[in-house]
Amino acid sequence: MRDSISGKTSLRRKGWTRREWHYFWLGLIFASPWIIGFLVFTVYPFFSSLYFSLTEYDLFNAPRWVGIDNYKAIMKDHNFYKSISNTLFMAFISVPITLLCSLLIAMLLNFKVKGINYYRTIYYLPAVIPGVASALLWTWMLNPDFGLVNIFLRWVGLPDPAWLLDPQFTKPSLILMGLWGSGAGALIFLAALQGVPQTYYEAAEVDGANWWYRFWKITVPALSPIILFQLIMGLIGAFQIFTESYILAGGKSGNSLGGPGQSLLFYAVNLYQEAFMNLKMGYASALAWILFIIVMLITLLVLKTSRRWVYYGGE
Amino acid sequence: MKRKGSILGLIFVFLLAILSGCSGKDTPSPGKESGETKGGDSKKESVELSFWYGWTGPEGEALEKLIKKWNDANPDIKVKGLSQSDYQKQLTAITGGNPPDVASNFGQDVVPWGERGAMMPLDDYIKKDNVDLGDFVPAALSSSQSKGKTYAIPIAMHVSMLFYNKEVLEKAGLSGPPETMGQLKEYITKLSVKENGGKLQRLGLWPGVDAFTFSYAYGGSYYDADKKQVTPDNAGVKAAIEFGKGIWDQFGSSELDRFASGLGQYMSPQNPFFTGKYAMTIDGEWLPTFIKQFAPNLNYGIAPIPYDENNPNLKNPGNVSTSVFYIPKGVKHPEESWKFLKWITEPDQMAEFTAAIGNLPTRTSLQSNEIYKDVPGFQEFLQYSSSPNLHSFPATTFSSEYMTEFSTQYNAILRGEVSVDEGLKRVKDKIQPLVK
Amino acid sequence: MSAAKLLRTKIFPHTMLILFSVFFLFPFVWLVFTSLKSSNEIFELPPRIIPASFQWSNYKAAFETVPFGHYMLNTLVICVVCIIGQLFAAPLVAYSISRIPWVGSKIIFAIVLATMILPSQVQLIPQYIIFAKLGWINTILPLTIGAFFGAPFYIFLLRQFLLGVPKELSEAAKMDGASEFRIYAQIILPTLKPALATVALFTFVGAYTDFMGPLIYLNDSAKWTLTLGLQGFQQDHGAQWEKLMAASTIMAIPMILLYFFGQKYYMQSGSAFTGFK
Repeated sequence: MRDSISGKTSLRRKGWTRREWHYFWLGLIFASPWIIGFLVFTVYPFFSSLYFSLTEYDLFNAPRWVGIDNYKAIMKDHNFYKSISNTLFMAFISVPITLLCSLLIAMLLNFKVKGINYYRTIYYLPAVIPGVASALLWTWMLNPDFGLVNIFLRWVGLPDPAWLLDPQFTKPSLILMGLWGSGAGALIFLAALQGVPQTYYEAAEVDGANWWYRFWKITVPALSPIILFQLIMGLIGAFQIFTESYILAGGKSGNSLGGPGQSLLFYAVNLYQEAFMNLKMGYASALAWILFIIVMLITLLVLKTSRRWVYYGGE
Repeated sequence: MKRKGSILGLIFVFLLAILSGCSGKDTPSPGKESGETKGGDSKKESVELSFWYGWTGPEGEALEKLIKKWNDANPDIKVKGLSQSDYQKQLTAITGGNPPDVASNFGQDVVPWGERGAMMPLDDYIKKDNVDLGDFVPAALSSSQSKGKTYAIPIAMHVSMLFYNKEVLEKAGLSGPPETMGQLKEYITKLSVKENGGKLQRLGLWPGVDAFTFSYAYGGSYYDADKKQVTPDNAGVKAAIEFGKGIWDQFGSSELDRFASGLGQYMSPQNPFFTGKYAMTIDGEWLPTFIKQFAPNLNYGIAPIPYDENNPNLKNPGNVSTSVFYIPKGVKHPEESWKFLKWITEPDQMAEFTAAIGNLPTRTSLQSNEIYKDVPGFQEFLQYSSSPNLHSFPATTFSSEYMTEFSTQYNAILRGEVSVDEGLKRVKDKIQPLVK
Repeated sequence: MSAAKLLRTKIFPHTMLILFSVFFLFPFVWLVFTSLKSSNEIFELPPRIIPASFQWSNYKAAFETVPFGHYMLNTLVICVVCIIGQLFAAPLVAYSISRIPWVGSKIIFAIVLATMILPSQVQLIPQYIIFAKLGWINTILPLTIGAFFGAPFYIFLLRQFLLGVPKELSEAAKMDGASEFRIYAQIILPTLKPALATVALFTFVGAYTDFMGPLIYLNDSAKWTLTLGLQGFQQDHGAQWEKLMAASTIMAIPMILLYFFGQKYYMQSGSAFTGFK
């Protein structure tokens, strides 16, 4: 009973009714798992990694304060620049290509033809294959002499590149792998496409608009919020590419990660290498913070420009 | 209000129950082990040691045989072997506080790991049990020691030599192996075969091979301990890299990449040297044993690593390294771990294991042991191992990063992405700040 | 029907759909055929696509070289614990931010959305240090504990679903004096079943396919998951493609089965994302 009395007095002070307090506590209790997790596994690590980034720490000896030395060293580290340029390639070339392809596939899957559900099943299937297995499969698919892709290319008389062994072709190989799994993105577009009122298209058709016009003036604007969402997720995903690169480079202690000519040394791979292979936790924390700032900047930039091309339908 | 409190309580109890239930499910081993430590004083209850080693396949089986022998003789200390070829996993296990009780590693990791505090110094135990370190080959032992502390016991010694396919050499009209680096270069050109389409069918020697070994042929060194300077730009190292680059450019990256993508598994009958895809290779003392297992009909020879004709005093150059056993820092049963470690490095066990996998023993008393009589290539390698021109990569706290960075830049140099000087400068820029 | 219309509504779509099907399906064909080749056939020139005779023994050999059954079991334990965690936490939090009128609901929802775009690498190292200090490295705890606090995406998913559940459903019970927790457990949770199935399915898939987590936290190969086991197999037997493809097939089969049986949930997730606008 004492609780309720003290509760009442504080209620009055803040001007909350008893009912509001009731819901406050209830809401808090129901949300408590997430709140605890957020504080322990997000907020605390977020700020402590800032602290670690200013230290030298190998997990064996206590962290030693070094000020901004780690950041200075990163600015001189050619691996850092290599990883940034590789990652930006994926973010600004691979992500848009993949997005465009999944949008086109979604439109294909939106045709009202017989057996469309079978096609949908087939197109989505690669997306359920675990990343490790699909990376291994594509390593073999892209084998220069014995892989299916080059067997096909030779058969139609095209040049057969060395794919994953040639630094110039490693990232295109990754894009190809990504396209194979693009059914997942296509499915999201498909759901959105089905929400576009058919009347828009019918009206355009009456006006004699061609396919190209309808695509750019109806489909893309109607889907723009979803495109924005997928674009942001794709960009953030690009900064976290890890498994494919690790598998393709056959990561193991003693070997350096990153594939031929370090062409697959992505940001997350470099970070992993510094943190868990070289045990440079302070250095890697600094890398993590730089990553955070880059991702925030890119996200803000995209959000800012999005005002010009994203339409929130109806309203 | 009362009801609310009970809901809060309920949820917390629920949460706790799930958490503890889930940790209960998962952490029986540490709990059990700590119980055992307490009981360990009475020396009655049995202890289980986990033993991680890097050997796989037939080599791992040879080690398992020894483990079984130990387990049969010591029911109170049960050893559970685990083949784990990624040594990096040991380091993260040690930092995480759940290390293996005994583990194997390469000698080059001992100093960096030991000084960092990942390995337990063994000196007290060695003294207590009067282990005679004088029996060990000095070079092998010293790579396990740093600042007066012994962090590991070497079990095997590795030396590399030149292997050549006699049939292939004869067909090319070459009567014996190359002796100098100049001859080696000629041999590689002569022995490499291109199909009429221009595709490589056979390679004299993989040009990306082991810059470390060749750099010793040119008198190179990687670290100047007096000046505390890393020296990847040392003239000898540079000469070795230029040698590799010269051969690489003869074929070109795309040709070599294609060729490499069709090569079979190393530890199998499809090993490119066994199938004749490599006419020559530089490899360790274990290779003859592999050949016996996987390609018994291969007609091959073993020869010294070629030397630089301008430096004839550097004859019989090469790389020497060791495999060691050690006890990680933070193990729960150091006494028992030591007992097993001591036993497995005793002459009988060392002889049995190294003979089975065709390695060189690190104990001088074993070198004339009868057991090695049937080990192919043993005599050649044993003799070679006494050459004064064998070197190891300098054992420093930054060795592994140094080797990784060196390999990365060597690769970039071969592929023509950076010049030799620029690549080596990058190595120096990255590693020099790590020197303390 | 005119020829032009037939071309546009039938022939063109089918042609395109079939063409792309080839791209999506052929790697599977290649996967299975390679897994049935003999080790000599792998490196045969010119390469043949269909093996001369099916070497089913590759599958047996893969299982004999590496304890895939054991890895499967390890993986399943992690998957199940994660599912329990998500099913416990995510609906609770979703309920709090969608059905309880309190100040936190909007704030938490905003933060949940924000954390979805926070790169996990930022927290990775301190998390590792926390787990190391707790002595949890090389246990499944670091891989499962997070589930008990609710993943942002599932909270979001369930919230969207809950917004569609009519308020009247709980109002009546409230009139009868039922507590919020009873309403949650007896009225709301049952209506959430299809959404919870989606959460369970995706949690399973997420835990099953995770690679970086196990790579960082599991050292002892006796505790490895399938993803680590497969990667380890690649390290030690990287050029034995027939066995590697057999092992990859083994790993993919559960995911494919799950997909065929739970297809409607996969499709549901596609529409859930459209709620982001």
